[in-house]
Amino acid sequence: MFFQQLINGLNLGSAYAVIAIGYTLVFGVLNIINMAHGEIFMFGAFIGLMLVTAAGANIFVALIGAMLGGAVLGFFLEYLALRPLRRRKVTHLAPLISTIGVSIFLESLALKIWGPQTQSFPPQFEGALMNAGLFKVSMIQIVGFGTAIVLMVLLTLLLDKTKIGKAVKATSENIETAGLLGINTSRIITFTVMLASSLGAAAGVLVGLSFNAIEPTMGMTMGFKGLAVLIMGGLGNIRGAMMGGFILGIAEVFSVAYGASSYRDAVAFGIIILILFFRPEGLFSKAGKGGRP
Amino acid sequence: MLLELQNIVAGYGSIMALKGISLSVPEGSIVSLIGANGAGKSTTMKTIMGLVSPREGEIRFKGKPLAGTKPYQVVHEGISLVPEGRQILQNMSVEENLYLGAYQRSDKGGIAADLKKVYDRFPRLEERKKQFGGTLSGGEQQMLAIGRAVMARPELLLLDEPSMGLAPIVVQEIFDVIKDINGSGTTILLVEQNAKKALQIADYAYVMETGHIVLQGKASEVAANPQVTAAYLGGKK
Repeated sequence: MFFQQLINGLNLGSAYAVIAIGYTLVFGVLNIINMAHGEIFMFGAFIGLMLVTAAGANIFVALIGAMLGGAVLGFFLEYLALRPLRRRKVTHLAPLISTIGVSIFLESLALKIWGPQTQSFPPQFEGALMNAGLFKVSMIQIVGFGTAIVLMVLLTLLLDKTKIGKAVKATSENIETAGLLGINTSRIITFTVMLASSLGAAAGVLVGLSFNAIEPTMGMTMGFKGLAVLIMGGLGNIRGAMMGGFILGIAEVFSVAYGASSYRDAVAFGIIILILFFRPEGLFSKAGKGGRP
Repeated sequence: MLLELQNIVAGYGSIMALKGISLSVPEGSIVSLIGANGAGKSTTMKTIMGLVSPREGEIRFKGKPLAGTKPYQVVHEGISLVPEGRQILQNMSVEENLYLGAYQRSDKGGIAADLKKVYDRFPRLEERKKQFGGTLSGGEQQMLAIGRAVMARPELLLLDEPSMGLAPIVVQEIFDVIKDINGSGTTILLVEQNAKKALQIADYAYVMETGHIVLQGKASEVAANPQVTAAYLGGKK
């Protein structure tokens, strides 16, 4: 029972982690919370679903398609809702409000296109279940968890080893310095929002696969959870977001398994409140550094 | 002239920190800009780099107008700034900081050679190359800031208060390095509060007060001016 729940929790947590990383990346370069991230996640799930049901694509092709779709949405989000405000030196809160506008627009658009009813992926990898004695793992869990881990490893490599990744880190830490070093920070911001959105869309497909419930309002709940993880991990800290995602996922699954199913969100968020009570700067942020990656 | 500023008016909001300044930096020279706190020295540097847009006036670099360009484009033209307070990337390693200095270059061999030159000049940076920038001492951070700017292979290097907050022995080292960089062909525009040292190594000097250039000339002449002696060189001659 314990190990089984741990596996389920890791699976859910890996999706939360991928979502939270998207928030973290955008927060790093822009210092704002992208309130449209949850809706991009939802669009990712629907794009993946369409590719599988309407185009008959393989689930991995659907995942890549959803990520590309997410990147395109991210581009428009940045170009239409964030960039004009940056040029005009308006208040810090304006881009936050404009992303809320985008989130409402995307949710309405999804309702219009796909309707309000819950949809689900056709069964994938049917019946494939591995029994390891202590616990059972379904193929969907392996694929979901594995994909999330691969995405996180690739992202870490991108940030630590490539030139553009280092430019993203430099822009996150100090945008003025990054510009003085010759980095076109405007282009880096666009790239970062696109990258974050493609991760959000990928998480949409993973969650859609695991829970078989895709609906236009799914972005809101997921968005708030990603947000909670962002704060718990230490604002703008990528490793913190990864660990925070797993903690939230495991906490949720265990609260369901050990008898508090109707309190699942209350238990999970209660844990976050407790953690923040003792470490207000977040679990993994180095004190005094403003929690940057 | 490598760099020319003509009647630059610039500032923040409604406050104009520069009220019409003109200065020129000849190729191969060291030009010092001295003055008290708040005279507008740093704003001059920021205006050249494109961090502050001038309201009026013209900046010309190698004969081409520069006003209105963004910082990364200014770097591309061949100007690098060692900013006030060093602005080291605290959470990135010393070596990553240096590589980012060469961000716009793609000549791998040249970058590796320049990295070696920086390490030869500042052996302490090589010893600490894997450490985070934030763990360095003030003097080491200044060396890193200078090394990072040089990695861009600028034709014109701007230095904003490089000696600020450093121990005297380190200050001497920094000024030696500036002379050395100039000796290898890079033109220097230096902003300093340490007027004595700045006038010693400079060919030309400008004195700024509250947004105006009040005196200019050969560094030796400026250093001999009685007003400068009284105001910036401790009064004794």
